Amino acid sequence: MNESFINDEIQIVNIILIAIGLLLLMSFAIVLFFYFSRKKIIKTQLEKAELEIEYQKELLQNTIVTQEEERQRIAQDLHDAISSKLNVVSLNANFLTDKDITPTEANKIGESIHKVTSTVLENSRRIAHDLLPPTLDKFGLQAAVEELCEEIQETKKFTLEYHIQYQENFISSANELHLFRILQELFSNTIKHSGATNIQVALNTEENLLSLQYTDNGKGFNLAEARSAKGLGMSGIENRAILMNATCDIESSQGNGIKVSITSQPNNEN
Amino acid sequence: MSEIVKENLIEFVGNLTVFLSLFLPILYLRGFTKFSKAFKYFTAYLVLIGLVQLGSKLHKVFYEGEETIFFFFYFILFQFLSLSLFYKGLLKKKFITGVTIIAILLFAIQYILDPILYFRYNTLAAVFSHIILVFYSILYLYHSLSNKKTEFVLINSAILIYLLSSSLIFASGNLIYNLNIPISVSDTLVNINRFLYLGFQIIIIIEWWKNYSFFKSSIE
Repeated sequence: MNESFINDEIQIVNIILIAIGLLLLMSFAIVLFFYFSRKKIIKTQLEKAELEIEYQKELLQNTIVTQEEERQRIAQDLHDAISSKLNVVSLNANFLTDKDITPTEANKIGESIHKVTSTVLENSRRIAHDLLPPTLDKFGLQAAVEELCEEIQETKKFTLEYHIQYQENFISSANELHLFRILQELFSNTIKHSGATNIQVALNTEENLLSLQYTDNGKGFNLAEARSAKGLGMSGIENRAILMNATCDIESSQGNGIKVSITSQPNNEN
Repeated sequence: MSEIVKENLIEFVGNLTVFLSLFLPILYLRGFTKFSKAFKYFTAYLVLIGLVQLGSKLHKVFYEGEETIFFFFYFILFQFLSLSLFYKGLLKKKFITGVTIIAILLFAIQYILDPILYFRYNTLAAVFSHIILVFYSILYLYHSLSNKKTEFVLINSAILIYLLSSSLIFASGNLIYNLNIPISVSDTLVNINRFLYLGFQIIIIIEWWKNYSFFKSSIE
């Protein structure tokens, strides 16, 4: 009787021992669970940070490439339209200093100088206009976009239908410039690469939402390839849209033209 | 393993834990002014536990054969107070102060109602204080999930493992004393606790070595 009583008690002790073992196991499991979760979380965080850095690098790269291209274009423009012409002027002016020159010749040379300088003046005005259209600064986005569209129409390469209804100061002036540049880039892409015959542009500010719709019927392109091409217009357009906190939706495929839609909330500065 | 070797080993482990209880505070006190608030509270914990161990040991020497169980009361109280402050330093949560005050009040009421408890294992207080500390410890584990740099990760894990497993040992303390069983069996529980405690102390040393040793601090 006494022995069985003791046996019972030993069993209780055994149960306690097993329970302690289980608790030990459980606590180890908890610690290990947290340890491995932590490792995993930190790993994903690191990957995310690396991706972000990679993206920043790409953005920087694109900016630099674009900047370089722009510099090259300006240098080319200055050389072709101004420097070479001024050379002619300099040469002609040199002739004028000649003592043996007859008045008729002097008149002729003077006329030539006048003609060339007029062209140079016109060219320099055009270059400055291309760099930053004064209309945008003086008369606002509506006028600038209309002017841009008229200029494009004058090329007579394609039909351009445009509908501009912009409420002034709907977005900040910095964002207005971004939007203008995006439109410029779209036009220049269409002219350079698409071979389109028709372009449609619609800029609206309605119900607290600005929207720019751009469509052409050109040969289109593969979106993924265009994005990966450094310094090309597409990534520039998207980056500008990001900067102005707008959503940018580009649809295009081989043979189907391009459709770009940019929407933004009013005065959404980054 | 022969019985004598086993007994010697257990006695050695017992003495080692007492020695380490006195040695660890010295180790941690060296960096007391250099490190964070949590570090100071943890050092306070080590000092208090060291004092309790020393008191218990001296009591055994000078009053041989008398009860030393009331040291358990101080052990639980100091452990709960200092580790609560330690977790307050780590987690920086205000509710910890509230929980600590309420728990201490409840324990005080318990002792007022039943003063005899002072000379017994207060299993309720032991288990509840352990559970609260385990809760803080898990909270801190969760907190450390997203933080790259966290201090006391090792010690926190060791606290979780030691407190959770030892809470059952403390909970069954009175049961074992009341049961009519051979002392060797009840000793098993005490010995398990000794081994667990030794493991805990070793982790404390490793944490010190890895993060707070003077080699490390002199480099930084």
